[in-house]
Amino acid sequence: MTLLDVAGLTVDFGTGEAAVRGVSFHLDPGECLAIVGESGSGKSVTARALLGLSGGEVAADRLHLDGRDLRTLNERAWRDVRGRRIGFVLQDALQALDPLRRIGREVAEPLLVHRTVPRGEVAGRVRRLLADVGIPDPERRAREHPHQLSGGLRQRALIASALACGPELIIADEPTTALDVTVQAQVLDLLAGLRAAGTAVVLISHDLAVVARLADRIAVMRDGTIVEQGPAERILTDPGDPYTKALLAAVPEGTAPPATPGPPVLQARSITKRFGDRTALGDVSFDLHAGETLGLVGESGSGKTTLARIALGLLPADSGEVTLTGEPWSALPERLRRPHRHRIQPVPQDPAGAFDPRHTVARILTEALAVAGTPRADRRDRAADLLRQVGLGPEHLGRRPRQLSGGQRQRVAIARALASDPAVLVCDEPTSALDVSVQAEILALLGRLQAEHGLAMLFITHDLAVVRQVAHRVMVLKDGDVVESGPAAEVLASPEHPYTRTLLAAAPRLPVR
Amino acid sequence: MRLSRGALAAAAVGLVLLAFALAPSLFSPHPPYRADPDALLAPPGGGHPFGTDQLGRDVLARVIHGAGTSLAMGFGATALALAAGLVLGLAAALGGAPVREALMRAMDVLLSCPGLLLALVAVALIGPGTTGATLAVAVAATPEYARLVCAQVRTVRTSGYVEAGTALGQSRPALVLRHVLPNALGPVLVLATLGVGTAILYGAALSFLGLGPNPPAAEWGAQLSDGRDFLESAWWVAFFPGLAITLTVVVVNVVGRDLRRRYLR
Repeated sequence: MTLLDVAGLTVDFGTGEAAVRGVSFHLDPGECLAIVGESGSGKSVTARALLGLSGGEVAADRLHLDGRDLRTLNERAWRDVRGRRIGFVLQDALQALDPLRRIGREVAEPLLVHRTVPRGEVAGRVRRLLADVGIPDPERRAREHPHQLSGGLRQRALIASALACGPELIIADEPTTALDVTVQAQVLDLLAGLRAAGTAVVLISHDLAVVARLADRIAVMRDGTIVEQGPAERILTDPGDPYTKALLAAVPEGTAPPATPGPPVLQARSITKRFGDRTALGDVSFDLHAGETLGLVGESGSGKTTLARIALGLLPADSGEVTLTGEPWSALPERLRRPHRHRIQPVPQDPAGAFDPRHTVARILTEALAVAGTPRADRRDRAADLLRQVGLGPEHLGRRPRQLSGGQRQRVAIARALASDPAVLVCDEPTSALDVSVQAEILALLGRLQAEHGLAMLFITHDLAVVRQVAHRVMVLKDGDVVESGPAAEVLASPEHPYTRTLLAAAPRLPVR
Repeated sequence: MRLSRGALAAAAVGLVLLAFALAPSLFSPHPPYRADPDALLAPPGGGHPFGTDQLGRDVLARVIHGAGTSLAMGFGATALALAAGLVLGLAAALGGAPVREALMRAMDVLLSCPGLLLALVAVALIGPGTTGATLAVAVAATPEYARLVCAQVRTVRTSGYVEAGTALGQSRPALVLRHVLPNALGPVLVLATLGVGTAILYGAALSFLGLGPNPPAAEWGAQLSDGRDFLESAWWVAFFPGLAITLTVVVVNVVGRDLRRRYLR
């Protein structure tokens, strides 16, 4: 029988159009429904409405959990449902767990609130829950605080607390977005195990490849409505709605167009860097040629960003040397390096933080042009020209960063990097904060600019699909060491190092169409 | 955003006080120093709406004329403390670990003393009088600003936009002036608006202890001190200067709170 039955769900925040309009779906025990959409599509609001937590005006033709009408619940009755009948797993476990509380206490909370087990048995139940979600040494972990656990263990602890009272429905809102691919694979396996044991799962995600692994059915949301809903296999291989098709097409796929590399422009020799007694980089060397993209792949803490900052001359290396177009670079004192800084430019991960919030786009770009030595009279025209190159119109000149969308901000960041006519772009996760359709646009833009300007790119990412699409050569970092490097097609098709193989196996992929 | 009703009222009172400070003679019914031997400690009413003091001077006139000195001490001390805090905080944040440690530990020592005590020590070293008391209050307030400026600058300095500026090849002074200081300053200015109230109180306290402006200059703290001996027989001598101090501090705090809401969301 149907566990969750939702029909005509509408959530209105009283700000013009309702955030969620006429959403209908149903869910059986042991089934996984994935709700997929980009930012602002209403998927998280829908999830929260199922818990009575949307914060807006909720209306529905039907909103039934196991035959019980959720629309008539008062706050007290809702509290009884939350945690006991429906478990909720949030995206960021570091924020969702109370930093002052031990893990065991956190997981025990729902047990104590709902009194589903006698007090004396709570500790034992907590240990069993932690073991069930695959946390090794649960006895010790239960006594630790959230900051002592890795991201993957934190997410598991969060899932354990959602599971504590044995709910028949788990709602997981982007449960793996903040995690490395290998950890993501583990968490998805854990959710798959729950589903197999009869728990129904609503999985909210922006990532079609992630849900492909788990979902029985997929609902695609856009602007507050479900545009398409059906069995996962059909949605992923034979979508009917144009938006679903566009989403699928935006998933990075294919390989970089062949490049004809020019002379080496950025060379690193035996770079090492330690922070305290932790080795961030142990002897890393690479050559980057003009017109070529070198993909730098690795999980958090592998040393990718440290290497990028050393390449940019923002962080001194402990030993080794970086040269830029054959000239000394890392060895120079800052005074001598400054005049050459325009030759190598960063494209940031978080463009929102990369601009002075008080400045307009015009000022951001003219300032960069001023440093690059553009005469004052030409700067305004050049700024408009830079915007045109990144696909924005001159009307954006007067805006401030917060008045731009994420994708527009990243375009402005790229325009600023181009202002000084650099030879090298260092892109540190430039698309990981963006929606998949915007990511596709930015990747296409970077590819076009590379072809037009003969740019060399050091491209850092944790996403193997992205690296496959943009990189000509790949370097895999693990714990500060290069474990494998070579032409992208070779490394990604037949990896030699076990770690590369693990990464590739863990990476979510769409079924072959 | 519109001002709240409370902030509007506070701003109105503040404007009146400012007018008193700038042109006291326009509002004052009597000269502040004229003693009327026939009306010693006269109660409020008649020709003296706030009464007279022990020398027969009009209390209202002295409150109005005292506004200039009291506000100048409060705002002057805050401005000086802000300037000194900026210099020290910037030096600490940008000067490297040894400079930062030395400066900030010194500030810690100063912060560990109550502000008024610090002001008393300072006035003992500098000497009493309007200037001395203002400087002393500034010294007492400086450590707070220095700490906040240092913390703010260190946060902003590691921000994405400062890094982007560095990567563009902007010089350090240009980065500090164009990006670091303007973005670090918001909370510091809000603290300053709140600090003005404290500074006015400290200034009044120093005057009350006889370390502020020399008699017969009109100043609220000194007037409060004068009225202390007559609290039971002639409450108005101390009451109205005290009311002026309270009103000013409330006004400054309400306006400061509004600014904080607006800029420190």
